[in-house]
Amino acid sequence: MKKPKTYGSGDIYTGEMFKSNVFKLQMDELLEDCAFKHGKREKEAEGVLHTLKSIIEKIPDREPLSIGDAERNLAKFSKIAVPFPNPGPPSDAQYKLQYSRPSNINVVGSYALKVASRLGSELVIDLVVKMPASLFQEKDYMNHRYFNKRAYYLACLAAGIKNSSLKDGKFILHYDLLNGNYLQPTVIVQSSSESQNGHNAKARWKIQIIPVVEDSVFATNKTMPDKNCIRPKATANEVTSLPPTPFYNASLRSDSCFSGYLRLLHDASKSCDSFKDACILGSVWLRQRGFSSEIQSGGFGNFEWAATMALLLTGGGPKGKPRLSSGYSSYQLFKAQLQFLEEVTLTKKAVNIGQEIISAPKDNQDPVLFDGERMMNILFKMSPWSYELLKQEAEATVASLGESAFDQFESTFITRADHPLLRQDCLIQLPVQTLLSSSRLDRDEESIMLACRKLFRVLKRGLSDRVSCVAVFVPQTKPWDVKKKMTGLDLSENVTIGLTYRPENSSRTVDHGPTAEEKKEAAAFRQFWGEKAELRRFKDGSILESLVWSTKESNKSIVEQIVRYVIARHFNDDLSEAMVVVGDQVSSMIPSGASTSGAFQPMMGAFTELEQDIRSLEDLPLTVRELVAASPSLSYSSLDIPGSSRSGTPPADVVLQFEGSSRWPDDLAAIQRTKIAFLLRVGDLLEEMNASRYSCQLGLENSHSEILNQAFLDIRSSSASATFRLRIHCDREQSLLSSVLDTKAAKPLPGTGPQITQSDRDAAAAALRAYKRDFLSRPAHTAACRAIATRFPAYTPTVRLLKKWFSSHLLAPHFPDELIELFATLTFTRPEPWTTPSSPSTGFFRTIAFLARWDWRQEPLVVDFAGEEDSKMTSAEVKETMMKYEAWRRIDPSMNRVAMFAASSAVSDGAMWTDGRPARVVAGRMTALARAAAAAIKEKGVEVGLHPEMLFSSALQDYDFVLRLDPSVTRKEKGDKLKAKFKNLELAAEGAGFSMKGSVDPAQSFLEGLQYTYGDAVVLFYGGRGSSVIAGLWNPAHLESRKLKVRMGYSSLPVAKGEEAEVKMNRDAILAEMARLGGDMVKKVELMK
Amino acid sequence: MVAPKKARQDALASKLPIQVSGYTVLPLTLPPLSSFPKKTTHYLYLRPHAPKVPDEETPKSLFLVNFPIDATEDNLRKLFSREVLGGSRVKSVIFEDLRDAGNARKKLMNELRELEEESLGPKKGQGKKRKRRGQPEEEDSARQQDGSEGLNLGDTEGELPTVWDREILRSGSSAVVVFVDKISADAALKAARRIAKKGEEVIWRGEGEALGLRRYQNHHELSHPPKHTLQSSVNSYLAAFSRVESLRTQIAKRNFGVPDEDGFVTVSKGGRSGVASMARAEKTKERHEERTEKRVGDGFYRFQLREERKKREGELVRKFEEDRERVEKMRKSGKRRKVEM
Repeated sequence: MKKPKTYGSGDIYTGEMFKSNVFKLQMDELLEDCAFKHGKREKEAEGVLHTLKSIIEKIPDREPLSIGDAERNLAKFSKIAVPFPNPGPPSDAQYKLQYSRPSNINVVGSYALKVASRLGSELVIDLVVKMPASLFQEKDYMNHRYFNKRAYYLACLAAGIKNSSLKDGKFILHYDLLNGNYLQPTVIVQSSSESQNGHNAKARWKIQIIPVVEDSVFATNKTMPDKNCIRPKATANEVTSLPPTPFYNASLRSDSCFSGYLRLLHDASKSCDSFKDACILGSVWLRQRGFSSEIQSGGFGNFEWAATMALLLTGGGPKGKPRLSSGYSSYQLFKAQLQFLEEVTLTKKAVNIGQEIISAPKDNQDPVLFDGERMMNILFKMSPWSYELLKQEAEATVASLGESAFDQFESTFITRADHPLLRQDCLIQLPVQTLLSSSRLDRDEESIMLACRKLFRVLKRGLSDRVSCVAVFVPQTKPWDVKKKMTGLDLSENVTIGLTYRPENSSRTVDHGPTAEEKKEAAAFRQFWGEKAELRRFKDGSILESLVWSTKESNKSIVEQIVRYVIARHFNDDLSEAMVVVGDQVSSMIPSGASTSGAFQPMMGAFTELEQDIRSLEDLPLTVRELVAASPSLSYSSLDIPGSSRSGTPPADVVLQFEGSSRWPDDLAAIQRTKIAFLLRVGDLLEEMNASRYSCQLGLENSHSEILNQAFLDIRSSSASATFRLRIHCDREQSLLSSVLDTKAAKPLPGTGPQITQSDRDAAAAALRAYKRDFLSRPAHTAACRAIATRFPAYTPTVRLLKKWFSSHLLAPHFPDELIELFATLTFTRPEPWTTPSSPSTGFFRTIAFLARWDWRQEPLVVDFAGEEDSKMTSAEVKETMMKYEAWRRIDPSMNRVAMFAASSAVSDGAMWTDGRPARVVAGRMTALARAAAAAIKEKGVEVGLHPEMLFSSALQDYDFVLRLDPSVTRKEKGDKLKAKFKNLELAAEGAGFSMKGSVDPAQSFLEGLQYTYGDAVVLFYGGRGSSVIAGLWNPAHLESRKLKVRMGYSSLPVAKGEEAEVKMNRDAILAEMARLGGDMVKKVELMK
Repeated sequence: MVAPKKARQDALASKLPIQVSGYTVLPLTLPPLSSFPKKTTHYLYLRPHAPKVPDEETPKSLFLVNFPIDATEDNLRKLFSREVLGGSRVKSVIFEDLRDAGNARKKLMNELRELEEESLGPKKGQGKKRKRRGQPEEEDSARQQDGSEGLNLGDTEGELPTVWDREILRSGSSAVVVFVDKISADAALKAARRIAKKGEEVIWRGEGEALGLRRYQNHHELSHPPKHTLQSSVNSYLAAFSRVESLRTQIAKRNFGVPDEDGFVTVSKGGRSGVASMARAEKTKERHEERTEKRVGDGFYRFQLREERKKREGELVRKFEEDRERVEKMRKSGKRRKVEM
């Protein structure tokens, strides 16, 4: 589509055709990036194509020879092996092998059609060499005869190229498999190593030589999917009872259809303008999801995408009408094709395009999209599991494209979505060798697929609705030397199974089977489950076959227990024992281990109780409007389980608001004093009401400014052995503070006291921010997080892991809880390109991947908490946050105040949590750490096995200095220690009915003191409660010497600089000061650099 | 306390300037600690105090910059009383970043006093003292301290309890040190010059209340004061506050409709019922706005519809332009997201 000249058509433009302006513009750029370009490597490769063509045309014919002679000849004279596919020609084969000049040599595939996306480092060009029909007999379609002849022909080609390039040694030859199909070996030609690794390593290309056959050589009715073409010797004549061999048949058929499909795609791109662009979009989409034509990568790649689309442009709709229209835009084609993949279940009902009607074979679950014109199932390389995965991906993308508030371009095309640890909730590895031996199969390519089919069937049945998708990944094949025969399987590799959970079912403990009366079903159930099946009577009187699982006896998840059980039952114990679950070890990093939100229940209960008790207080001068939570420990989101014994968890903030009253004074300081009076009253009344449950104590805060909240009431509830910190919300504060800010324009209202200075105004602005944060935003955010935690069981462990990660990297003082909760929530409410994660490890890995990817300098974070479709953020709301973000960037372009901008549907002010912290340099450090972690997950995650500790430790070498604190002070269980050390304190605490335990963290106070004292001269890092290290960096902006000013903000020393003396930061004296301030808490100050 | 030779040589060898931007440099040696066993030097900068508006204290004062964070009035007093620094006597120290604790109470007391005066005699044409702009902060705080004398509440009554037994300064902060007389001030400055020149060693002792864990424990204790202390503090503050309120109402009532010296009558609402509270004033304003909104709603006039449509069309064009610009900007900044490999 061209850009419209007039803007009048703007609404059409943004409508169905291209989703939105931005989407379309981004798509244009993507297509430009990916479109075919005739560059240096293309020129070089085309030169080679010409050379190869002339070489092949000059290869001399070879006389028919018996198989043994032919093989010996090639080995002797050319050192070339013949890559016969398994099982290889029988020793008593009657047919002869022969080579004669090809009838045609042609370039096909995406390169010929110019629909290859330039992405990826390598340029692959398919060169088909048509074998003359004279080499074949009518019956060669049977028993691998065609494939054996083809293999010999290929070896002769390899020998010919090798001989002719002997002199200059220009090419390197390898055997490979066409799309990983062991029946179709190919020769790969690459330029020799010098230029490959040398200066023009960028110009990498390879040419794949594919021997094919004339379309007319074999009768198409013999290779229909329901026919058998491999006859066991003894029963060579009994055709009827043999099982069909669809894969073999289609492989043979595909060798005859190369030019047919070239024509089909060419015609489609001629008749439909957007066809090529839609192909490129598809190829990018598939690539990001790890799909390709390789059998091992799903068997659905660029060719299948293009061919499906071309077929759907001619049929596939109702009454044989085209499903797609050639008038569609590229985006419409792309989306409609995904919708086709999502909606139509090709495994249940075959889709036929053209006249020929076939039905899908009943017992196997292979998808069928039958091209009646060329008589082939174009999805023959797909397996049931890869089809299931493709469907799931298509579904996720179609759903995300339907959303209007967020531009889903990035998740659709940009983000790499194929990493198994990020994509699946659970990964299981099985060694190939054990898998084959346990299913008593040969060690060849076909048996691994057979074993996987059985595995898939067993797991599907065993896990039923606990999972939405079972994906099986078999090892990739690798090219091998032309001197060697087909190498077959690498037995040291693993088969990987990826499970996507259905969160609502995945941890169900009881499975119901058929009733005892249904004899047949019950028998099948027993047959499948063996001794695990038991007959039970349930409450409603029904007697059912059932299975009971439990997490009490083992620490393994129920899904893992089931997988192990069914593998042991249907394969054997060896395989069940050799099975490894990858990635979920990271959950062990969650403190106190509990990965369920149940541990938060006592705290939540105590809160409800407190609310009821406060509401029932009768002698309060004002009526209670509400008591709301404003703390992560009341939204299932805190790192530590609140109130867990002995671990000193911080008090949970709660906010009490009374019904509006005009009796509040018109003065900020007086309001604060009144609030203290209220708090004292609430405390007295609570203790009076239930002295055994509550003990209260009033505390002071914000002593530096009297217009900030001055006091809180710590309420210790014996119900959860936890402490609540109650503050009073008075909405008069907001209007009073705003009026201070507004008085510049208007005359102060009578009675507001003296003139207002700039510093008053600054203080009021700060106080207003604090007011909005503590009394409006935090309660709203807490409520939203609590809803998320109830909706997504994996949220709680994910956010706790994430908090652990931030504190392990000493980032705790810079990233407020709320910000980290937003990061985690994003993973759940906007999971694109994946579906919502259901395991802690997946949630965690994805969030880390997001943090590594997020360019906070350029884009705001917008999190939508809403679950229901109608309460989701509208695009207008998103737009508004975008505008706020842009306004912030305009007034603070160097990001001194707000580096990260994080808005949500609960708190639309994106600077609420990030005003002042994290600083730009700290945010940059987070990105660097997240990138390192994401890289480790990607590289080591699956193969080597990931040590979770690795992700949670960072070297102290990166810092300028480190303060090592006395562990006896910082230890979480410090209550006893302190008492022993300071007897008088203990007595004082006892007198007040209170202990210091939990409510104070001297290291935290020390850190805050340092931050107050040194401002932005140093950046300090601390791991939060329990951490005994404070690390620091000097602010590089302050390291240069400069003229002495009155407010430098750091201790300085004079230095001679030319005539004039200047000063610079006195780092040693600062460290000595820190040591003095910390006193006995600081064990050692270490200089790292 | 004359420094050993070695230290002097060190100072000379490093050729530290003895003057910086008109300040005399006074090196203070920080004794090594077990956690940081390195002898370090802190530098204090001194000059005679020279505010824009001098007062009688100015000649007796020095302006000091870059205090150690654990400096207090008390340990500075001790520092200057040492022989090596001329044995001068300090009258007071006014720190720059004095926190404004107790300020509200002071303001309230000032107001109370003024209102009480006013309620006795007729209103004097002059308003309250205006704060002079552009004046160094140390001046302000000095004045505030003066103003807090002679109130009818006790010195700290009505103030919230302090939560730190020892305040810590910001790094690099400054203060005005007022000596008992000019001679002492001069002597201190002279001694500092001598020390800097000769590289003598003066050891800094950050004496005072304990630092370290003890300070935080004390803080914890102090910020949880006993109930009765708080209750009485709050009570006396609120009593003073309501006294101010009632005086204000009284005066306003009395002045209602009474012309001032120039013959003008201040128009104010609520002469009979007292000064309107802010809450009520706001409510009235809201109600008024609501009424206007209702009277001329959307789509009342035809031109409104027309304008609305025009606006919508313009919006579409603008949106498209905006989007294009945004993508253009992404491209130009070279930070466009490339397809992940």
